[in-house]
Amino acid sequence: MRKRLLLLTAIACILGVAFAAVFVFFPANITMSFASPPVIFLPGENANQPDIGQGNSIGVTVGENKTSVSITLHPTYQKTYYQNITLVKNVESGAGSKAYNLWFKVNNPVSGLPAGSQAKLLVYQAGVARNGAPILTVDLTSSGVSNMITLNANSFYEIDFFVVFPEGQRLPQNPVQASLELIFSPQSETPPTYP
Amino acid sequence: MSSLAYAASAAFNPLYTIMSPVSPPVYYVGPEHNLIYNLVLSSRNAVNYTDFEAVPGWSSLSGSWSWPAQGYSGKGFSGTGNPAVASPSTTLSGGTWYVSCKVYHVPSDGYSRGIVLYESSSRMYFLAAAGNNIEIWRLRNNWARIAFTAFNPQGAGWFILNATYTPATGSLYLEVYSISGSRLASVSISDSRVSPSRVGLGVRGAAAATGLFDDFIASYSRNGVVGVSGLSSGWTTILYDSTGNTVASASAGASGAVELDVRLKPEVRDGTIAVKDSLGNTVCSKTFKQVLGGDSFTLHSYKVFDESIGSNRTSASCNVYSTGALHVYDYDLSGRIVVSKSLNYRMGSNNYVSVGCCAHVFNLTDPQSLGVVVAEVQILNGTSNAWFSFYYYGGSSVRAGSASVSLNMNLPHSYTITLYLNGSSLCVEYWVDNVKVNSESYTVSSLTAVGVSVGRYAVGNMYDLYLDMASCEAGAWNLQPSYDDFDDGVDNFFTSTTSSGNAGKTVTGYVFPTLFLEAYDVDKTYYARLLTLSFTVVGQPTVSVWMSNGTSYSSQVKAVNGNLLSPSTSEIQLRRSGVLEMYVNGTIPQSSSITLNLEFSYRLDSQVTVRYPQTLKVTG
Repeated sequence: MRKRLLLLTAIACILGVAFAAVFVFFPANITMSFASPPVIFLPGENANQPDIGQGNSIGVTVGENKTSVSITLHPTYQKTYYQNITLVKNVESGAGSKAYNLWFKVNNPVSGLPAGSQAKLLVYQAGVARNGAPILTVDLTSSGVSNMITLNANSFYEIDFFVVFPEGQRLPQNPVQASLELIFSPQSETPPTYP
Repeated sequence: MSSLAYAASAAFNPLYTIMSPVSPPVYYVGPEHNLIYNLVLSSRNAVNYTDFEAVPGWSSLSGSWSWPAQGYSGKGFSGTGNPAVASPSTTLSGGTWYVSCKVYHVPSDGYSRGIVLYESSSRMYFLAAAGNNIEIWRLRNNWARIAFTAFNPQGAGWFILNATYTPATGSLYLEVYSISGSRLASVSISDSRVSPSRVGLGVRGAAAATGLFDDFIASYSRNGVVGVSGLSSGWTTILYDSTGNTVASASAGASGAVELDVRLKPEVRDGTIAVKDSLGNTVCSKTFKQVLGGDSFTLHSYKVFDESIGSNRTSASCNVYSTGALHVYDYDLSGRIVVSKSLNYRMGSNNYVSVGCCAHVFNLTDPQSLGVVVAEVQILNGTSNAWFSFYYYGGSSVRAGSASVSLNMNLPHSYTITLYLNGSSLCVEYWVDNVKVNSESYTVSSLTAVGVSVGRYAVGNMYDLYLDMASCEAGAWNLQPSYDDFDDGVDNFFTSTTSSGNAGKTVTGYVFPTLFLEAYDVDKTYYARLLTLSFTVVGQPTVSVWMSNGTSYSSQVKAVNGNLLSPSTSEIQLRRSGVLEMYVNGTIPQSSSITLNLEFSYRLDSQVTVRYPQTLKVTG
């Protein structure tokens, strides 16, 4: 009798070390329906037009699904201003359409420019004269997330660029690049970072 | 609970901006010259001169004289007699007389040929080549040789005789040169038994004695040289004749002055004096109706601007300086103004008068098309008056006598009227910017240059006229040259003014329309403009700035009496390999100034605009 009680106690102890007492399993289904992008890039009015310098043009390459864009500029000394190079458009329209909030996130800023240089991305309402301040200025020489702006349905913004290169400095021998992301969301909360 | 709310959903679209900076396709270029030079006749000592190409107008005092004869170059003068004496009517007195001529001497014929210092038919000095000698003779009822020396002519040919005479001491001097300029001999003596008052040429030895002469000049100073001063060390001055041949040249040392040797050609018609810097660049070149031995010229220089351009030619800082100018204005349709300089100069054959100025005329309101006189010479022909004028009636031309000359009247120009008398033939030449634009001929019975005028006597128009570097010169010493750049703040040139109503004259600091900066386009067509970002002002200057691409003009950046009325120019096209010129103009009273902080921008259609800084300071 005593030996049998000791054996049962041992078995209970062994079983109690590794396993919970009870588990519940609920089924969950995650369905992803991919949609066309509601906010897209488009070439601006001056995309791919002649740029300064012999044989140069303002290069604007929009991705196949209009969700990426690569822009090539050829500024010179002092101040160079590029107008209406690319567009950001909210393509939703009609019933159920909504506005989207936009942010520009500079992941890799322009580097290697001399002191006194500037490189900015400027956002303007479509069609407005450039004698006033832009609705958003993004500094391409420093990383971070810009302020938020809102793009209404069936509307677009025009993207300009402003570059300052001080006189007396040697021009870069290789192109310099800034990598950004356009972040858009129907919500206004700060967008998350991601690995 | 977390204090930071994140968006429930967000999309991330990549955007890449690639920049490949390029060399500037448009860059600043400074104009070549920031100084204005003006070569001016400052003194003339020639009393009488002739190369015998024109009617000499001499009197035959004895023997027989013939013109034209075969000269050393072109026409000459010949006389036959014993003696044969000819002389211009001009009298000399005092000082020292310098007389020079070329003579064709034949040693073997025994005749004497040379220079006469004439008192009367029975009293004169004769300084001549005679046989193998040079000799000084005196006629005081009878001829006496008072000095001589051998010069070994080695055959017949042209020689140069130079004589000097000082009345106060009776000092007589004669030297002879070969035609190549080698000095062969000289002789001198003092004698006071004759009191000449005229100079001329003579021949003697026999009734058939004959002589050929050329290039005569009599003056009150050495007439074998032409002096030029105001030069920089290392600069070269060259005298060209009318065909472009070099007559003489010399390089300046530390003194900044040269003497051009004109012994072989003491009268240069339509002579051009060119000044070149040590690199051979022409600094100044000007044509004069006559350049005479004994003349002195001065090269005046005026600083207009100085500037510095950035290392990559994309910034510029410019300083522009005003100059003294005479402002003749008529702001009254019922008023008038004429400023005048009296000459009352009787002209003989081979004589000339030349008057000129630099002028900018604008703001003309002229409903009756009366015009504005930019420069005018009045003459008296016998008892009749006549006027020879540059008239401006508006637009892009001026009247130069009977001719219309296309001219950009947004810019200042030099205007010169030259009257030249050859016997009874008067030639009137009109020059703009040192280029002859018209010439006219008239026959006159006698000629007196009465005066010089600027303005308009008739009533009925309004205008502004700024005038600088006013000059007047004549072909002989008895009308000494006059020149006024008004930098002393005083009008010393125009001796009288006739005015009424709201019209008048004043001397003020002025910036004539001046090219102070250029922009050069390397690669394609752009549209450029100037914009004033800010400005500072002292006093009440009035300034305008504009651009030109060679065929059109922009509107102006304009400040009036210190107030900025127009901050921006209009846009103007700049073509590939083209130049954009930037001009400034204004009235800058003494001690006033204005500094414009400008931005020069050029755009490629609507897609890209480049902007360069530019500072312009204009100082009174």
